[in-house]
Amino acid sequence: MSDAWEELLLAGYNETEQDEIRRLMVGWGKAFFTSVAHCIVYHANEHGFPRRYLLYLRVASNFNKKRASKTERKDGTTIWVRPNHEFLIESNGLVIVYGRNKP
Amino acid sequence: MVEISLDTSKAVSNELATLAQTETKETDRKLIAQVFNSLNPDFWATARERSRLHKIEWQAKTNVLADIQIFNTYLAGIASQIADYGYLRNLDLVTTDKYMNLWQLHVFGERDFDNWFFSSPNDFPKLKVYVQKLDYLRLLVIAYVETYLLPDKAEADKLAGEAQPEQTLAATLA
Repeated sequence: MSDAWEELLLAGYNETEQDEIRRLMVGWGKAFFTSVAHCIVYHANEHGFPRRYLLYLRVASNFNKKRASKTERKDGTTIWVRPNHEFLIESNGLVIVYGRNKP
Repeated sequence: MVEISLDTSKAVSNELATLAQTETKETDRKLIAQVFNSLNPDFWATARERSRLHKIEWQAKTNVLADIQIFNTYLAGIASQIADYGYLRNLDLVTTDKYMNLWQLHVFGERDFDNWFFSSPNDFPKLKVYVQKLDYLRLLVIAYVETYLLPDKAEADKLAGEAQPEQTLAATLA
């Protein structure tokens, strides 16, 4: 079932791109947001990908964990950090935020 | 001269109290919305400081930036719902989650974070102001949930509990 945030996430993309968004969304969690789509839209805007949600999801899914440092916390979150300013945070195996700490 | 009965007087008084609380609730919701909507511009303004801290943390193996981001993520999920709807669709989860419930959400109190925040107060000024704003939003959200949402939920649960025997009876008779 679609929600308003998912409609926003998919808006402007063709059918193939929408399918790719839906496929990439499967790896995401929603933390305390109302839906996975809401979580993605919020963080894409926060981390410099406003209205470029597919790009944000692609970049996040290409995060290279091989050279990343990994920290697991007792609350179920796992923090991945790379030297190139990228980071990825998962909760119980699902991504809740991807970002870059650079100007 | 018109005489007003005690019952009428009490009813009017209750109506006024309810009206006043509704207005206060809306004011509190708008304040949460305003603070929440100002988060992203403030976050963008911390980019240089975050970049510098990222380099330091990569060497030191600390996670101050991740602590802030996790705090932000959970808090934003709650605050955005209050800002948009005035209530929480996942109130039960937010108030009962084992590790991340509303009262457990914090960023202060972690050793590495406190060392970073308090050891050199003038370093990373924008990022520290951003964290203070997040913590202010946390307090606003807690006050909102405790003042408006939990009492409403308790009342709804009570009504549901009272209604249950009738439903059971109706089902039995049917």
